[in-house]
Amino acid sequence: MSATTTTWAIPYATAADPLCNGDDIIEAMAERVDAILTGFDTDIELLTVRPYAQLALGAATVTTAIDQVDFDEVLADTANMTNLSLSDTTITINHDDFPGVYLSSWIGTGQDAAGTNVNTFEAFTSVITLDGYASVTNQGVALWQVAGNNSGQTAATFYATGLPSFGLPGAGTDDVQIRAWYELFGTVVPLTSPYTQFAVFRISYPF
Amino acid sequence: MELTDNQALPFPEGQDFGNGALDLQFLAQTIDARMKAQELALNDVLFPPCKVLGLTAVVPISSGGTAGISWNKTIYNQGFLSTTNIRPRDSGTYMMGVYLSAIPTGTVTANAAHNLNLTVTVPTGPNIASDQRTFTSVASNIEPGAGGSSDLTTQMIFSVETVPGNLASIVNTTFFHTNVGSTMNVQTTSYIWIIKISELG
Repeated sequence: MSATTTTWAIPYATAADPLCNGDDIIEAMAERVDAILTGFDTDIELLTVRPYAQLALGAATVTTAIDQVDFDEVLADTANMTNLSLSDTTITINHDDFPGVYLSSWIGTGQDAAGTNVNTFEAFTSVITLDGYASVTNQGVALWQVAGNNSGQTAATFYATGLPSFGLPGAGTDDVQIRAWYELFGTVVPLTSPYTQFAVFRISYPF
Repeated sequence: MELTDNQALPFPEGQDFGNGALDLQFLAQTIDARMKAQELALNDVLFPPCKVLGLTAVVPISSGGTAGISWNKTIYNQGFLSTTNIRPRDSGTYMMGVYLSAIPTGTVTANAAHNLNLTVTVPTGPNIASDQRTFTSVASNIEPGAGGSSDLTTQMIFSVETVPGNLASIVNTTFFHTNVGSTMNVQTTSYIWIIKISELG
């Protein structure tokens, strides 16, 4: 092979190449471009279908004053992030296959049995890395609170968003577990289906 | 003529060196077509459907009732066919949110409640009346008796699957308050937004 392009190393013929080598040169060119385009396809697929999972309550669940939410329905899962039979409280990110920066979104509705006022909610998510990466282990990464009474309405919704950064190169190697929590001050109320949902998705890939 | 394994790029068989120019033409044209497809796919990622709607005038809302907000001003639109509504119908995962600012037109009622409710009803079958999933997110606050204004924001994530009839999702934004002293005006600085964040897996 006589020469290749500077950036992508695509082979091409030069004046010194004998005519009888033309088929080999074109084949080498085609194979190299094939590899480049296939790599681009992989990158575009990474960007097009993000690792994303969303859990929900299919039926109302009575909880205690502070609890992780026990979900019973998977609304979406593009990266094997959920397994309700193994854990109904957790969305798990496979560090090796899906590293990156993730955003979580957690909304819920609570209503007491009499359909009257609810009191104060506090909602947050927790991030746990199994290898004990210190800066994120057991750390609540998002907090949003509905304060006071709800002034005659029969339901209150809270939401919590977080921007947990983990899975960055060199930061750790084990899977990451994210859980949705809520805490209630005052009357214990069940969360209400189907409005209680918890989602996690990747917003950036660590190139 | 043979083809590469992944992209089916053509190249001449061994010892076939009879027409190099034509072989290169076939290869170049096939590469061109593959790159065009990649460019289109990349554009979909770089410029996802995104829309922001606002209000052309303040919306007065009386105390005690729950009133819907009709968003009637297009602030930004990328990829949504309709310019006047914000109802996703193409499959994918979306993020949507609302910012709402409301100010009493007169007397401020101490300890009045303000409540912003964003609801998306996504069709899951051909009859949205029975085949649906509803996503709701609410923001609330209490007027402390100082200025009476209310700034609220909320957001949610939801997925849409294409259904028979290509039905669009239904989006409702409502505002409720208990400022009995006067009507509250929803300000023109309020807006609703939506962006597609992913294709479905």
